[in-house]
Amino acid sequence: MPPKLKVLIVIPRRRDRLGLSKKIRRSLERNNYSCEFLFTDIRKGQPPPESIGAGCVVYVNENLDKSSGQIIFQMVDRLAEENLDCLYLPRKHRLPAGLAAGFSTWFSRILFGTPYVPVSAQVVAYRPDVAMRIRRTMPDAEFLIKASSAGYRISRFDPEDPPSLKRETAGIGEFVRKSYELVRLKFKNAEVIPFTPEAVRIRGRGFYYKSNQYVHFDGPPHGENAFKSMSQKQLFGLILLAGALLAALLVSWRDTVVILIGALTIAYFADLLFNLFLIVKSFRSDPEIKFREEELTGLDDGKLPKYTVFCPLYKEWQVLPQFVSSMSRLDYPKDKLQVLLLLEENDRRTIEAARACRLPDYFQIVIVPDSKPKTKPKACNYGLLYASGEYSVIFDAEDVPDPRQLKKAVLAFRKSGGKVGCVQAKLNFYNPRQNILTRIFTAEYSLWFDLILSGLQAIGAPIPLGGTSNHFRTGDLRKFNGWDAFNVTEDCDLGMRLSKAGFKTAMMDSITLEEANSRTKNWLNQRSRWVKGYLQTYLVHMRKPRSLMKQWGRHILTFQLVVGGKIFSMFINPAMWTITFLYFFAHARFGAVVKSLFPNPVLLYMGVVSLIFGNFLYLYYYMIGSAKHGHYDIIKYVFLVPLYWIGMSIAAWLALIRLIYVPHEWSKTTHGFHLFDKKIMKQAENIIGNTLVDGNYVS
Amino acid sequence: MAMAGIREKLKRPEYIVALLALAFGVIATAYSFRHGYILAYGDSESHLNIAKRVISSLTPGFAQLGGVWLPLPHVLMIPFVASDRLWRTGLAGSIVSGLAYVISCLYVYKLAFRITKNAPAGFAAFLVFALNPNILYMQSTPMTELPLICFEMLSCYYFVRFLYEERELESLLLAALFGFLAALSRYDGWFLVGFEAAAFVLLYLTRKRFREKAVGQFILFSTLAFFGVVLWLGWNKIILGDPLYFVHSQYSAGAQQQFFLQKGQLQAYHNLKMAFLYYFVTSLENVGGIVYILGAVGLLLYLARRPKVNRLLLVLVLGTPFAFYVATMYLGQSIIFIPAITPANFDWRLFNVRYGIMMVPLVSVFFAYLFFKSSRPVKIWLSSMILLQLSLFAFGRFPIVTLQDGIVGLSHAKKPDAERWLALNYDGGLLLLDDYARTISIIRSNVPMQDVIYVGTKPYWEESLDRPEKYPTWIVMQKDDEVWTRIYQNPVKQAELYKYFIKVYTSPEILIFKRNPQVAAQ
Repeated sequence: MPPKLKVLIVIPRRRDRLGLSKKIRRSLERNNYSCEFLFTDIRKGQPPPESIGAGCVVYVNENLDKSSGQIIFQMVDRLAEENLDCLYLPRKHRLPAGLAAGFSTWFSRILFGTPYVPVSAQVVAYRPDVAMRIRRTMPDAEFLIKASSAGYRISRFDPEDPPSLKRETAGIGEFVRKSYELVRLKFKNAEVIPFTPEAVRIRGRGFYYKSNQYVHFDGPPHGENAFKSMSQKQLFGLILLAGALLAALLVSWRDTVVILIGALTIAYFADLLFNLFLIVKSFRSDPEIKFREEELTGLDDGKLPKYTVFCPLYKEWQVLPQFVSSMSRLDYPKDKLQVLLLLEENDRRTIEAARACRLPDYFQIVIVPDSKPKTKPKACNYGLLYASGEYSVIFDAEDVPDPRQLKKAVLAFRKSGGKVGCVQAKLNFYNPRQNILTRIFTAEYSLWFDLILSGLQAIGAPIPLGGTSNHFRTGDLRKFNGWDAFNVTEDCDLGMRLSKAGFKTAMMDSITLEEANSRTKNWLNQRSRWVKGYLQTYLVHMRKPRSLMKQWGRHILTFQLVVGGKIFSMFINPAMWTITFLYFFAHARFGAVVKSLFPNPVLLYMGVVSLIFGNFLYLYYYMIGSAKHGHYDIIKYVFLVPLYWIGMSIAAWLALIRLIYVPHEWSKTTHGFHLFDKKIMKQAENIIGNTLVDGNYVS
Repeated sequence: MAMAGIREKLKRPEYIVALLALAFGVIATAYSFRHGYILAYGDSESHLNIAKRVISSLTPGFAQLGGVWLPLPHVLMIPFVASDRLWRTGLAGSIVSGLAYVISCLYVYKLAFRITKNAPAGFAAFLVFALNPNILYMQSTPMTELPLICFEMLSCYYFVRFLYEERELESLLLAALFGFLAALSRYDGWFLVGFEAAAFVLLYLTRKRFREKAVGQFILFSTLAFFGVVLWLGWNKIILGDPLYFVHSQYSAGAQQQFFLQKGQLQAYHNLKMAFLYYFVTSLENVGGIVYILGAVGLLLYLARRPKVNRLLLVLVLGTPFAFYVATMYLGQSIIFIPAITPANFDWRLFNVRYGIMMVPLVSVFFAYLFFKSSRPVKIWLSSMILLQLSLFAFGRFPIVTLQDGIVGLSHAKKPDAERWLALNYDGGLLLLDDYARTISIIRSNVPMQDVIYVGTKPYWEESLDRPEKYPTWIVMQKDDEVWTRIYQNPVKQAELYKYFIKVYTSPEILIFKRNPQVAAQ
């Protein structure tokens, strides 16, 4: 009869006394298990059980008495029968019962927050795919704590005939040593434990962290994604910087403030010149890919590639008919179109609405399994598993793209060659005149998409992609591991990753219209998510500045200004505005104080230029953006933009708090407010030149 | 390849125009330099000194730009006045004016070409402008007329391009940008941007469609173009405590005209006819009568054709200086004396005639239009008229009024013997001087700028007037200037003066004192 299971027994050499290994082998073989022995310490690396084909690994941490063979056999048997991941035999203590219980409760429940893991075990039996790196001097405790964090099923084994206490069991000295080790273990960074291949097959790519399960399906590997906002080095650097700053302030607060303001002034000045340069560039070179009418009409439908549209929806049932209408109006052969509606498993209402909607046959409902993180890029990564198109694009649920956008994108890829990894359409709004907020938002979008991004394209800089209407070759997306599911501006991050890999992003002459956020709270929510995402992107890509410099060269500076500077200025702006305000409007009282902050005349002039020309120019850029997009009626509202900037600064601080406490939370922007206002609907329809919702698709 | 590219470029008319302009400018400047005309105007040195003081003074910094004259020409001179030689020769200012002249020539050509689409016509405009001796003289001086003409031409050119919807947005922004720069060069620039903004109102009124667009464009233009004005008001408020300091100050043009008003010599004040006549005659003498009349014919011909609105707007914008000077003379904010109409019994009969060169660009452009519309024989005749006009200038039949004003007019710089004396005897130490009264020239007296205590070196200035012995080694005073009034005419201060200083130079107007080395200051 062939053996039931091959078991790998790991015993530290020093523990193999009194014929322990022989006893174990005998006991297991008697029960039809075959076994191999490895006399090593688990701390030197876990044994590769696959190499000997073991179905179970048993780590014997402590010598047992003569019943050890029997105990191990029982544990292996139970592990197999109950389909557990891990089974342990708790350690006995010499400590008084109360103290032992306190010890256990404190360390397991309070310190590590896990209900069933003792801090020490005599024997641990586990499935070979439970893989963790053990480093500490208490391998049993570390193993069990990490396995628990990883979400493995762990159970305690209480033999009918427990082994008697041996000399090694804990005394007070041991208790103190272990306590120290456990506290160290607690403060050592928790480890990310990837799913086993089997788990990946069933649940998709993911991992465990601090007892939580994360399924991201795809995305850049750890260290290159935003799962952890800062690397240890960054955190250390930040603490060091904060400490140095505090020390400098204590030694000489005035000099420190002067130096800080000087540095900020230089940064502001550089940003001012850079933005001016970008705008001039966007006027002079106009790098946007344009299309002639005959190019578009000359495309042979039969030869067009298959196209996949990703549309992640979450609690957006109201805009679904509008989205279906927009997709149905795309001038693209429908037999070559695959529209993936990516719906979240827990969003029953949208799922029901989608099912009730008369969806054309090129629509496909994809239910994204409920898991952490609950983000748009996670949904897109899941959608990527279903994508069958040669090209892919993301549209938000409220988007109304230019009907010829897909054809234009195909043409743009053909025109621009293999080095272009993404073609970005411009975004604007169909409700620009809903209220003052939407008007200024429109001016801002016009500036960003019509001037800044085309300026960036003109100088070949990395482009932070817009949230939607970015077109890719699906193969490239897979090659790049899709989107970073933990980054809440995955678009910006992907733009940077593309650029690092040597790909370019091209802007094309096509517009997608969206719904401008018309409510302050909703806007603040959305903006703080964007800032949080920009922060994540900045921190992720600045983890290895030296290699970034090699990849980007001078564009590392562009990155500092476009991503870093953009967010950093939002944090600092209120302080700078206060200084400006005090200088001009309370000159008698604060003029001299403000002036003393700029002891160097060059810095003073740079500061004055930045504050006066800078604020003026930034305001004026919004006007230029609006004019370039043809929103002439919005120009007069740009004078209110300083209020908008204050809102941006509030959002930035909110974003920082959220980054610390809920780094992966996707603050959902509510869409569809326009649907309840006939006047706005009319306005939108005038801009689009069609009805927003086709009656055929209303359920 | 590179040489071939350069050769190809040099064949383009714009390059020919620029190179010729550069050559004319350099020759004219060399002529002025050789004859000592660069600093003929008293204001020339003042402009240079303002720029110099920003970087070299007891109290350097941008506050030295002051609050009466607009700052941009001085800011542009700063890199050049850093060289003492360029500052003392006046070439620092000539370089700025000369570059402005070259750009102006280019844009006169481009504007004429834009409205005629004819290169020879553009070239005719260029010649009328570039060879005008008044323009040539002024471009060799540190005066601010050429920088203004340069920015006005740039703004006009892009404004016209905007009117004809050629790269509309870019043109609009450039027109506003150069309007902004013009408004920071001379007060004429304020009128220019005002007229350009008014043109949008006219556009709005004449349009039946796209009115919203006109409003947007008006805001877009005005926000940038008037930003210079707002900045200047803010600057006056912060540095000098009054946003309208340039109007209210004792150094303002208006305050200066009070002197002539009291003497009854402000003929154009509240007299529109005289104001018009003064500017008409001045501009005519600057441009040259023949070309002026032919330019006027061209203008009428231009206005007679369609589309009328755009044409009218162009004339309006190019003609801004005319309106500006008529208005400011009428309001008593500026003054011109010109022999043709200034009565013989006035103290002075030549003053500020350079204002007339502002009309040279307009005449050049419309002369070109006439040229373009003429038949071949008439074109030859018109070309000969340019030559005739130049000959009249060259042979003195038509005086070069701007130069005359600098030599014999009220604008000329005084050169008292005291400054020659000081140049020979100055041996270091701080020098107290009422620079505003132009007692002596700092440039010609060889005193380093950082050794001069003048009104802009507060607190040195105030303390020195209060306690003359505190800082200066030298005190220069002219009858009735600030130093004279506050030290020499004050018996107590005068006693102190004689206690600590020795009078080393005496003339009916100017006294120079030098610290007595044997008496130590307390």
